[in-house]
Amino acid sequence: MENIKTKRFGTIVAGDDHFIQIKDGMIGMSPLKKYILVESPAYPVMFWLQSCDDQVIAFPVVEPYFFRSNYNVRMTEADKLALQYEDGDRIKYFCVLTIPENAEDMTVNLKAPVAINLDKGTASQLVLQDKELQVRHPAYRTYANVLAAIDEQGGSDSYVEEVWSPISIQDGGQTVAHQAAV
Amino acid sequence: MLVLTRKIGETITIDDNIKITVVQIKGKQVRVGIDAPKETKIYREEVYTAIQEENRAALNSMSGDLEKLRTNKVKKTGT
Repeated sequence: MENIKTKRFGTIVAGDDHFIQIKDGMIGMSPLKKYILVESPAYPVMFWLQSCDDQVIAFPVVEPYFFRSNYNVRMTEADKLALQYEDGDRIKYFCVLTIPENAEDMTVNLKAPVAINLDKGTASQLVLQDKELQVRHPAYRTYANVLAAIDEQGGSDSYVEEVWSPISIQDGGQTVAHQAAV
Repeated sequence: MLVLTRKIGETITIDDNIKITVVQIKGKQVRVGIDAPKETKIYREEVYTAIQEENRAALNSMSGDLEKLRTNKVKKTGT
């Protein structure tokens, strides 16, 4: 187990199962390659892709399907190599949220999803060719609706088990490591 | 920056394994074909730059704002 210092969540204890290797880094941040996925109970649906190398680096991410039910990703050969992808590997996609001062202006980057290979613990930020996909897709209304729907279901967050070993942040800064989903 | 003049159909070779060919010229637009090793990532510059900037902006997403988002949502569902 390793102690990961984070600005947003304090120190998080993570094991080998939790680490996600982004070989080329996030776009524009290539030196940072080691990440964990963190969930905070206050914000269901959303996760944080937290750098293990730089405590201030944490991307809020969300699944794209809320914003586009027909979100299809065609990986290039370069993408597959970056993910060490082999036939049968399960890939999970997340998109980066930008939440500015006025939260109603929040956007989601559907153009450049983060693909996580659940079978290898590798990830890569892809750039999709589809011209209809926006880097700044308005996200506020959809996100608020999803939160409302989850609350109506009694606040259960059924997405947790499906993702790569997220680490739950409890109140008071304690951390609980989920079992690997694989 | 190295600047070269090429005609339609002519190619530039970079290292042993990258070839860029001028395929078509139409008004102000130039179509280029690129042959590169499959691990090479090739992007339109403006798209790449936009994503880079958006990643930086995403890092400035503040918890306080998220708190507000949550509060707004609760208000909405309460009515």
